[in-house]
Parts: sequence; C-alpha cells; structure tokens
Amino acid sequence: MTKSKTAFLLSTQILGKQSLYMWTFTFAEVLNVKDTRKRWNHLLTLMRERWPQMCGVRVFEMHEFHGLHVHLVTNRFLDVNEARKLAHQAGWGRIDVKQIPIEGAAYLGKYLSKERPPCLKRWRLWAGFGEWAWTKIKDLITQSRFSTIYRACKEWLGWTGKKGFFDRMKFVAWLEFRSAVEGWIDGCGPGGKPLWMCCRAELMEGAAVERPF
Amino acid sequence: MNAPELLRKVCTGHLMIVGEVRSAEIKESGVVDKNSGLRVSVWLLVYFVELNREHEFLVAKITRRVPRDVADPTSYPTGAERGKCYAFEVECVERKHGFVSARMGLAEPTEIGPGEGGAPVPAPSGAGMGGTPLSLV
Repeated sequence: MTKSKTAFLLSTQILGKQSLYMWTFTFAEVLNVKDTRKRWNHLLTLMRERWPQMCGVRVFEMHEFHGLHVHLVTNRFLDVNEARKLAHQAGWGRIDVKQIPIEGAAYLGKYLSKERPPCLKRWRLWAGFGEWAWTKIKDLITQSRFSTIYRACKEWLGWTGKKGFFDRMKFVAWLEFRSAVEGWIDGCGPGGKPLWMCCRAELMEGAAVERPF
Repeated sequence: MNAPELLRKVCTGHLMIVGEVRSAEIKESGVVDKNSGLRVSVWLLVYFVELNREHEFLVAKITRRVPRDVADPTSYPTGAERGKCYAFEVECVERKHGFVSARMGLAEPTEIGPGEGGAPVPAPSGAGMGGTPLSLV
C-alpha cells in the first residue's frame, strides 16, 4: 500500500465515526483534465460558501470512458437539491450521493492504487478540504525493518539532505538482507552491537562470496 | 513440483520465481499517524531468495501477507525452510534498491524436488550488481 493511500484511509477514519456520505460528480461530456480541475475548484468554492462548516476529502478518478470525475466524502448531510443547483452553476452534469459506512471509504482508496495516467502526473489525486486536520504523508511514521535500519544508518553516518539517496537505499537494502540472513536485531550489527560500533569487516563477515550488489 | 510442472505453469502465464530460501520470517510492518495516533499495520511473510542465475548473484525479496483472520500471526507457518529450493508464484515484480522485489498472492511456495531446480550456481568473486555498497561507510 502506498503512503498516499494509507494517509487517505487514516483521514477517512478521522473524518467520520459512524457513517460518511459519498458524492460523485460527473460531466455529460468528456472534458480535458485542466478544465475539469477548474470546474471542480469553482464548485468547491460555491459549496464552501453555501456550507462553511463542510469538510471532507475529494478523490480524482480517471474513468475509462467518462474521463476525469470527482468523488467527495463528507461527514455531514448536505441537501442534494442545493448541491445540484451549485453543480449546474459551475458547469457540472450528474450528481450522485449515498451514505456509506466508514469502511466503504476504502473503496475510494482503490482509485489511488490504480496506475496513474500520465496526464495526472504530479497531481494530488486526493486532498482534504475544510477546517480539519487530515493525515498528510509527512505525518506518517513507517515501522518496518527497512525503516528501522535506515534510521540507525542515518544516525550512524549523519545522513542529511537528498544527496546519494539511491546509494543509501541500496546500502540499507543490503543491510536488511544481511540482518535477515544472519539473524541480527533490526538496526544492529552482529551480536546486537549498534551499527556505529561495527567495523566494515564485521558487516562483511561471511558475505565475501554472497555479495548481493 | 518438478521441472515439467514448473515449465507448464510458466507457459500458462504464471509468474514464477525459483531460488534457494536464505531467510523466511514473519514481520510486522505498519504506519502511524503522529498527529492522530492512528495506526495501520500488516503482518508479512518475508522471504529472501537466492536466484539460480548462472555467474550472477541475485537476491529476491518476496513478501506475502499473513491472512487477517489469523489469531497469532507470529506462529503462522512460513511454508519454506532455509536452504531449500522453492518456486514462488508471484503477482508483481520490480527491481528496487538493487533487489528483485516481488509480492505473492495467497499460494504457498512449492518445494522444488532435488535435481529439479538445482542448487544455485556460485557467483564468482566480485560478481553482482555494482559492488557492495560499503563505500558509504
């Protein structure tokens, strides 16, 4: 699961405790993606003027036949007739809304797992709106063997910035392999020693023939 | 599984990775939101497999999800024994950080009978993917 999708799923858990409302906004005709985004911004502005307390998340989905459309998840009831008027004002076509359980929001997460179309490169496929603290990728802390080793190496070798990022990742992957095969504690060298106490020979010991890189 | 069966699987469109298991472990992997404190975690079976390539040492990291309904994931059988040769049916493969990284579906690894997959061919000294990254140390 990508970090973005994880952040989305955690956000939906924060957003609602019991149930959520899933809205789908589509067009009668297929528009280009930039126009769709402009119209979405217009619609969101109108909706936030009408319902200032409205908060939720939106997801862009590129449909195989219908082009780009928008899904919205909100945690409160909004009058669909008023929303429809606003949508027409902003140049949107059909609207659909249904109540979903919190777990149902995971359904929207599946769009985030799909391969990103080239025209949506660097786009935020999902985003929160309104006055609430949704989960952002920078707020996520990963807990895995790889991340534990990476943090230990960062502390040991004083890694800062992005310089040599791919070499670092290769190095950590190699240490992960060594840790798994030799049974080392995550983030430590042989005998449970912290990595900064290990010399090059100790890390390499027994790996002379088995160089993975 | 023997070689003809393996070949038949490959020919019918199954993605297979065959190699000697160097390590098979169950590990928890998770993500925590430092603001809300919410956590998502998953138990993974992680296999490090040495691929049977001639004159090249290549390691594959293969992961498989432990089913959610398992009460004690730590005691879930790994389905592979260190030092033996297995065929892993995988769903996707990519090259990541110098490893071959792959993800399995629900199918368990299948042991390859002796003489079928064969033991890995030892790599010559220095062979590999660009040298050990110890230059960083």
